[in-house]
Amino acid sequence: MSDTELIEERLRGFPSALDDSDWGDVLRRAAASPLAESNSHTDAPERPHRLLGGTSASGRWRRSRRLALGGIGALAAAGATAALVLVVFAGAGTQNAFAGWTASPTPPASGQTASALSECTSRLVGVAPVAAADWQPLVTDTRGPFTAVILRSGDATATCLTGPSFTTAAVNSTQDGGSQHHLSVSSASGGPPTVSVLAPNGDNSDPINVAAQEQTTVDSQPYTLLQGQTRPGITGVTLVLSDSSRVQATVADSAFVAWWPSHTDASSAQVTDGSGLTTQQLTLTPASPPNPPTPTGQPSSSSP
Amino acid sequence: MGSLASEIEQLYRARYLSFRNGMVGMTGSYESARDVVQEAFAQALRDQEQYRGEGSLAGWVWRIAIRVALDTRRNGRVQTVDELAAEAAVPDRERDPVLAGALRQLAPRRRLIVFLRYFADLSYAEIAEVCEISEGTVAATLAHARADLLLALETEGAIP
Repeated sequence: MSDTELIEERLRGFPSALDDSDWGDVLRRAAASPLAESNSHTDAPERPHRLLGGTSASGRWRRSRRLALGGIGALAAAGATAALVLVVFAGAGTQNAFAGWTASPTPPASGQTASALSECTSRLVGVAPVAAADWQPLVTDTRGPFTAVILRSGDATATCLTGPSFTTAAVNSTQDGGSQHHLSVSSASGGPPTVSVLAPNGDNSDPINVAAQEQTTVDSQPYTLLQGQTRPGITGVTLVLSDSSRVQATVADSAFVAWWPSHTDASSAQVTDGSGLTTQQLTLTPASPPNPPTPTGQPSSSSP
Repeated sequence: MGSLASEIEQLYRARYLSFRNGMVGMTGSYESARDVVQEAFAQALRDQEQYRGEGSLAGWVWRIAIRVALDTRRNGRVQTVDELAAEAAVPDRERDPVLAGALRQLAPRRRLIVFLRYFADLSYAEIAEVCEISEGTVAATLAHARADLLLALETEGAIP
């Protein structure tokens, strides 16, 4: 062994190999740690020279502000007999509401799903004729610090998306004889959501036979949430968006949900079951237009 | 659409120890190095739209980490990478006390580059990007540093 190799071996053996990494901690910091109040662009160097003598805004907190949010109802996808009642709650916003989002679901941090379920069901009290304890989670999707939950109680379903700085919730109810989707939304910081549903093709054997896509904004930042029902036996769903990017959905109990921080449409789904992988085109057509916004934080509802 | 966040996560999972071990010399302890790395990746996630692709993602995050370390050590004194290097500490002296002593005697800039090369396992190109110097300067600095360390270890009778 040469002198150089001897020194290099000894140097490389010096630092500790103990791995104390924790990606969840990074996500929590990304969502909650200090941001530059006046100009966060000074925090991240764009060119190397900015390292020299640069300053950051560490320790200052961006002001929070109220915002209003929207959700989507699974029953909207069920066809013409469902009346979708969308409710909106206010939350506190940040400049980057979706920091930490991932294209694939991530394992939940300790207590994350329980906290999200509690937050969602408490938000729904007084809005839906369902006691908080009666909501049962159908499918829960976690991506970094964000949790999307589809809830069910009898014929009613609810959708909830929670993050470090916001919560959205939607209640969906079925009304006998209803013939159209009807949305009602209150929103101060974003427009009412646009809802598209899977166009029926007369073939119930499709892997995904019900789906609804909602596109709305959180503090002027766009997101799309797609949920639906699958044929039994489906174990995986990856959505292919119109820009060719992919988002892996969470699948449970013949239901799936996924969301992404843009208004890019889902165009197809790669579906996995016991026999392999198939691709299904998703033809999404607009549902009924939403009502005009109403004041922030006031849940509202309407019927067909 | 979200792919950069995934790349940042992949970078973290693949090279966390590299970042932490590289930062430990700049912060003086594994605990504070871990804190700096966690905060650096959090900032990278928050500010990902500022990454222009002009250089490696790892290099960009390394510069954020160094900036965070500067903030941590600043106290009105440390303002630049060179000043940070001057305060670079050697952790875990009990692991190899003779080598730790030799590292402490290195010139600050050489010590910093040794940390980045052998603790963080950065390539010459990555060190050049992070320290804003040429790869040739990296190679020359490391050669001088190894010679200094070899002489120190020989003087101490720590190598045959």
